[in-house]
Amino acid sequence: MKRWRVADKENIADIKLEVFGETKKELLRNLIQAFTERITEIKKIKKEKVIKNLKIRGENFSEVVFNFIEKLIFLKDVNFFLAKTGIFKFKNNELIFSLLGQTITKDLPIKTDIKALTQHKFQVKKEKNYYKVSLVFDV
Amino acid sequence: MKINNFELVKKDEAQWLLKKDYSGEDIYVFALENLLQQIEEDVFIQARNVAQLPGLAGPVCLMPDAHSGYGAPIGTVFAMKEEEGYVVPGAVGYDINCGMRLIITNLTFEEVSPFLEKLVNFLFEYIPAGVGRRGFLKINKNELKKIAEEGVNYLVKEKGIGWKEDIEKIEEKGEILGADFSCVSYEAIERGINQLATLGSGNHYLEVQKVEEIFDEKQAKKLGVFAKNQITIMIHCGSRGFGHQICSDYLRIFEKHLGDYRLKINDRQLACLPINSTYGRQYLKAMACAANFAFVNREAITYQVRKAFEKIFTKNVSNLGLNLVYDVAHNIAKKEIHSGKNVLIHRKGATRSYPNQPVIIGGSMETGSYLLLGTESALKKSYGSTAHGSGRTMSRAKAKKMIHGQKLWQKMKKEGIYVKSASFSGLAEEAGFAYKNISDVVKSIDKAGLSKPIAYFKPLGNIKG
Repeated sequence: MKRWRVADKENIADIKLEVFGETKKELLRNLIQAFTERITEIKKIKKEKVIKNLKIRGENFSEVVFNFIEKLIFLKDVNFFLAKTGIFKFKNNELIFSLLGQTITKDLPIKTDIKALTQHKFQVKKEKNYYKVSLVFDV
Repeated sequence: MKINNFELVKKDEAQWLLKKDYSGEDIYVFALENLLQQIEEDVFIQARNVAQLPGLAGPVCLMPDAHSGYGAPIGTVFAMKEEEGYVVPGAVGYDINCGMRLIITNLTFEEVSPFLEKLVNFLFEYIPAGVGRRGFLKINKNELKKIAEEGVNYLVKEKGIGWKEDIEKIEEKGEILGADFSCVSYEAIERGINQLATLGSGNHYLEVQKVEEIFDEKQAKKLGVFAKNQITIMIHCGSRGFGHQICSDYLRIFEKHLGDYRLKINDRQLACLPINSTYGRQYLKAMACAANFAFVNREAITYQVRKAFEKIFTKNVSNLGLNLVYDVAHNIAKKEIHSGKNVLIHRKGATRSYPNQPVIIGGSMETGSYLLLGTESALKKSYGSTAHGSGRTMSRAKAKKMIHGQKLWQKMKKEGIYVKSASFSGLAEEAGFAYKNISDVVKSIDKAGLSKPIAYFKPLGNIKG
């Protein structure tokens, strides 16, 4: 299964992505991949820094996903941190997670910034045997 | 005329009325026919959603550079009744007070040309662009509060950064009143502290330009534009992560409270609440903080521009000019009076265009930009508003497929435009062919009577994220 794809025909000014995962945890890992790959070349990101014990709450899984992506944006802007992957644990509607990645350095090739996750066309869907997130980033 | 399944009735050479197949306010499109035909179907769909919002005080206006956004199209203007109307954060946009600033110099193209690359490289060092770079201005939370609540006044008078004369030449004198820092989230504060005095990325830029054409010499001279080949600087940026976070925060709060007012909207990005509700008021106070942050951001960048020019030309800045022509927002909501009514104007990708007020419209980095003046007829037709830029016609992914950033860089260099970019990928996304023709946009707003062209500037050097 494809991890994620750009749906560029559906959005002119910004970036629409579709991200997939067979499980919730795989979906979140692929969201990290899609997020970081838009900003830089993820293969160049080192797993040299760990941010542990992050917590996200939401009324449902869709809100947890939304809050999770917003956390990635926050860490990028405030800690200059880009994640390569993550370790996740669900507890009711709470997501407890750790992120592995690195601080942004001058030698990291930058493609574009992600400034916000919009609610425009945002959707988390459970298909027969996989999860799919559709989202538009303001870039 | 039929465009993308929507019927439009010609009211004037550059004014069209969307035929109603919905119940709501009228939608006027200000564009010459060639630009009208370039407007995507989504723009009309989104504008129709806007026109059905409760509390509108009159028609919805679309500018000639309109393109689809989230909720409201970029290039939308509408008025909400101040007493019974609603505030719509999604119709201000994420980058609150994204705006334009124009600075003039005493220098000519001949004087600057030999130093152009060095100057652009210096500007790139002095003004961080792209991702992961901090600005020169190190501030604490208390200083951020002052910046957010007092705007450019605080920066100039208390921090000694920027010129007193600049304040008079900024929309609302660089301070939107009513800002209240207590309405700003922890997340927005943390993002804001790091990003002051930075340019950002996407379509944001700082450009060194030369005056290429003057359309109205008398008015141009009044604004300090005195001759062809005069060097100018244009800045396009906004409130960075601070404003983005404020928009995100309030969109979610608004969506959760829609039910309190039994509101049904066609697009969750158009979530709105009464202007006079608790959260409506809080949003406007937080939005004013972000707007002030953006004015300060552009003033702090100007401070760095002046330093870079001093360094390169080894002259005191007072001998180089570097005076501000104007600074104007194009993503904002403001309480104004139109046709005798108190209203809350939402301008998303649209510039205020009051009579004789300078209007700055930036084109793509390959094509150039315009200085215009606002008009009386803009007050009557579009709530004193006009266009803001070129408007995209192509997705970022498609632009990147059509040209590699490095190739574009070389092509632009051959054409006499030296670019220093944090990213070749980002550069390709902003290629000139991905935008509408800026001159067509200006012709449309001129013909529609929304603003009057004064001068045209050609890019020479550009820094971007």
